[in-house]
Amino acid sequence: MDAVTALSGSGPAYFFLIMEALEAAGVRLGLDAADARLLTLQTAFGAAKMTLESQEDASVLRARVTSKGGTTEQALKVLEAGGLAKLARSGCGRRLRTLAGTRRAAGQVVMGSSYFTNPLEFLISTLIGLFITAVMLRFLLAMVRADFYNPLTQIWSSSPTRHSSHCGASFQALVASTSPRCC
Amino acid sequence: MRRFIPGFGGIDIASLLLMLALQMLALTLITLLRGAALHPVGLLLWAIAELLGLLFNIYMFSILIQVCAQLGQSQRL
Repeated sequence: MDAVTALSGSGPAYFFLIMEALEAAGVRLGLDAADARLLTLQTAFGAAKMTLESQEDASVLRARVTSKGGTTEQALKVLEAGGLAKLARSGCGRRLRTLAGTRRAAGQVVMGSSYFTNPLEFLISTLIGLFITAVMLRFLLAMVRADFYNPLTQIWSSSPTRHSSHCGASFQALVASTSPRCC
Repeated sequence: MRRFIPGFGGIDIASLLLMLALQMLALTLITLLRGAALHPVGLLLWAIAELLGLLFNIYMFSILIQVCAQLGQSQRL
């Protein structure tokens, strides 16, 4: 798709540049501006029409209008020496690379792409997310004044008897009463 | 942390700020990894939005747990 854009999307500009150069050259050779413009337009149109109507390749057509040892051949040699074909290739190539780069950048900026594409990012969001969830649960439970004493997490850190007298008792009773049949 | 930032009206401001700061840190790291810098105000709004999303998730799951617990209780009776 990028190749199509590089060739066809930007292509008219390449031809306009060539027409512009031809027109300027005509003016420098002594034609007046209107004549140079008309001649250039008709030449470009004629060339495009010929290529459209003919079954031949552009290279065959070029060979056909180039007489051996004539002025056209001399001019084409100058263009080739200037590296026109190479320039067109590298211009298209650069456009292609730019397009690919833009697409990559766009893909990076778009949020909501899979977190698994970047393991470090996944790690960060998961770890901090889990911690935030824990803090938020604690915050919510404290706000509604719920009894969120968990005997399992405090068995090893402190003596169980100290807590069970106060807020742990009701929770332990709840656990004991519901755990056998709880889903 | 509660020692420095007092609670207000039964709401633990300290843990609220902690959550906000952590969320903002996470978002900053993620955006830096993706090679983009974010405006602080945008970051704050985004962090608040993420926290609200988390709150809704917790609400939803607590409803599920409630249903589950009630089911278990009704079977026992």
